[in-house]
Amino acid sequence: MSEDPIRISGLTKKFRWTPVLKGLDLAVPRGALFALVGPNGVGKTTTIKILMNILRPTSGGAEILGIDSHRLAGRDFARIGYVSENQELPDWMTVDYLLSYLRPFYPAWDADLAAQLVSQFNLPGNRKLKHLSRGMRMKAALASSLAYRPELVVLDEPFTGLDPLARDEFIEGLLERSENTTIFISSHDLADIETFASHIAYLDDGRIQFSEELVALSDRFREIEITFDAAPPLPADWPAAWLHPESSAALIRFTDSRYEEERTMAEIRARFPDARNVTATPLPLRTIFVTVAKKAKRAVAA
Amino acid sequence: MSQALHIFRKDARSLHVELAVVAALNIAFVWAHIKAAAPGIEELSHPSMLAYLTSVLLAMGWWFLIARVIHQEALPGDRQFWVTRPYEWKQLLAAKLLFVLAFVNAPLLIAQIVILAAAGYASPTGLPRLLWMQFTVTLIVLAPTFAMGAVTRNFARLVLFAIGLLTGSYFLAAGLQALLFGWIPSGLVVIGGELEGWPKQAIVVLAMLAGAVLMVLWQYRGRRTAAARLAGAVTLILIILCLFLPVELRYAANAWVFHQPEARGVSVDCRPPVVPDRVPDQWGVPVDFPCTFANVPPGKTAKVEVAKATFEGSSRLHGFGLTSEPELPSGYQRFWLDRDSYRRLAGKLIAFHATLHITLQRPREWPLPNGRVTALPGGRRCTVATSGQTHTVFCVAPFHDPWKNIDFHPPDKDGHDGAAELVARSFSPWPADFAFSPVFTDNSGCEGDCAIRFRQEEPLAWFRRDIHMTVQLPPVPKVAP
Repeated sequence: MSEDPIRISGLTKKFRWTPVLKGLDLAVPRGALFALVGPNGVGKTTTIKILMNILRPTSGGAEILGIDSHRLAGRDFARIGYVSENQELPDWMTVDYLLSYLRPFYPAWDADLAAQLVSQFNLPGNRKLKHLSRGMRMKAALASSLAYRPELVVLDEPFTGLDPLARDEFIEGLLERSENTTIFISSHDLADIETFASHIAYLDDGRIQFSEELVALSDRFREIEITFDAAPPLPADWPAAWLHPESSAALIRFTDSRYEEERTMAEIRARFPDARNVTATPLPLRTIFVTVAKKAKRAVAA
Repeated sequence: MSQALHIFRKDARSLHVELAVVAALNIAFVWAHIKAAAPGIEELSHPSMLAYLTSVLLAMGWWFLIARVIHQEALPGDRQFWVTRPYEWKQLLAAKLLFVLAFVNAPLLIAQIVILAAAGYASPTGLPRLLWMQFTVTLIVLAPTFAMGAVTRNFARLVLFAIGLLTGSYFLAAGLQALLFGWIPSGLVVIGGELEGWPKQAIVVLAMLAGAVLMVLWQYRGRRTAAARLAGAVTLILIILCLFLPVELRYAANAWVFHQPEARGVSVDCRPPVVPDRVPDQWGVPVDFPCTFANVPPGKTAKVEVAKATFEGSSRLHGFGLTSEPELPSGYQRFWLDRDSYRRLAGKLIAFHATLHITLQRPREWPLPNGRVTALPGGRRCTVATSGQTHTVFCVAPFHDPWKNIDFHPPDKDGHDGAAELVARSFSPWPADFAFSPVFTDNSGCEGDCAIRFRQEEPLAWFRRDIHMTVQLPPVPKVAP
């Protein structure tokens, strides 16, 4: 049971001649609340659909709970919950009927838990899905995907179009039942996930740009400001991890993407012996991603 | 409860409105067909449009119902909720098949039994034939609908897909026909009569079944929509190619089924052709060869079922002719030649080769007296009614058409009255004809001094005779106004 619930290696996907994924590698550790983030259209949904065996990869592959994703079928889905922003639900069903219809499909279905979820999400049991708001529909889909305590929950852009209250209720419902469950969630909006994700991967240009624990990510990014009486020119041996340097008359500012207090300070002192003051400020997640995205775009342009 | 039953119950609940509509259509279908099989005397000459209409509406209801039930768990696409739920594909397919069986096949079977009983044909011996009719309806109507439903997302797309397939098939068939034969009067593929066509019908129907099964399995097992659609298109192409199977292959099957030594001595003698002075514009030129049969055993007749001929001139142009006309043994054998070919060949000495596929048969005749019901072989019942100079015949029969064709014989010079002869064959390769209702009706009639007879032909032997002769075609006839 120690193996990663999701392992992706060398995954590529082309739609006709257009490559969307260009050799994606990723491992999602068990028990993680793993967020896959990236701009719109970079292949997050494609990745998830390949994981769920809805699409077939062009090359490479993925394993879900130890099963090749392209072999995922039938009863394998009794261990997985999947909710997507653009999923077509059986609109004619009421919430109660949807849950009672799905119940026999899942040996581990917990009717009490289902009732609890309906109550917690304030879902009107006797109303047809087609008469529910988008937020309500997403919560109904989530309730139907949590009631059997899946080992893995995969959520594809679940917060798109949800109002803040619905989003909070959705997240609350999810987190309350995340024990013993791995959650893999995609989003284009960092604000949606930065409050609760334990791990994060950034997908851009068809590849994972980085993938790590959120705490570690926050720890290794710092905005560094060095003040001088008169700022020297930037040295020729500028470290690759020091991103987006800016220089003015008495100040040099950059983002260190591999911040370790002692090492970073030693490197700064070695390059700027005349520095009057050095400050290292933690960065919000959004700024970290903008920094990384800019770096990726520059690399592509180069 | 198995997953299949669980899904079946869900589908029945979801489609209760559609099911009610189809049930109502079924009732209308039964009522219209019971009425059509027992018309009042004044209704004998009017075919029941209502029966026809209810059949069409019922078929449309089935198409819609099947499409709707399959599209409840649509197979193409990447947004359906069910594809990431623990559905077992075999259970899902079983649920859909069960639905069709329960709400299409079973009600139809009940409707057929009721129609049959109401027409006075209720008998346990009819059950195998009813099951055969279920089989053919499933094969020809339901299976293709099911297969098309499996590769489409909704009913509108299914209709578009079907239109696309039919249009493609028509152009492919027309193109092949033009390529192979250059010209056929009707502009349509000639499939041939029942006796000649049954091997081809069997192959076509089996190809349809194989294609539909392949598409459905492919889709339900792995949702390979592109591959399944391709399989559908390839099946259709194969079916169209089957329509162009060499006639010799088909006739060999008949010669094997109908083999009688006494046909060996039968010969055909033909003389140089005659051509009418004027011919209709659209039909090319009819070339009539006066022919006679010899050595036909007493009490039996010989009949050309299909004839194929080649006219060879210096330019080796070919004509192609088919006939089912029963003028032999004392009449002529007609071939059609397209006008351009005829123009090039007229006046020249050319080689002519023809192959006649002939049945030797034992005919039996029954007069159909006016004003009463006559019981005939095969459960047929025919009624003749006369109003003024108009004689109308109405027949009803279980499982097969009451007759296949009508020969009209005009009064002759010796003062014999004219006759309308309803011709049927005692042999059918199939237990029942393809239809939704097991009770078949037909009507016809004639005017003036005319007797109506029923003639049944019992095929005894199928054989071929070849004709080789050198002929000189008369000048090009004028176009009739």
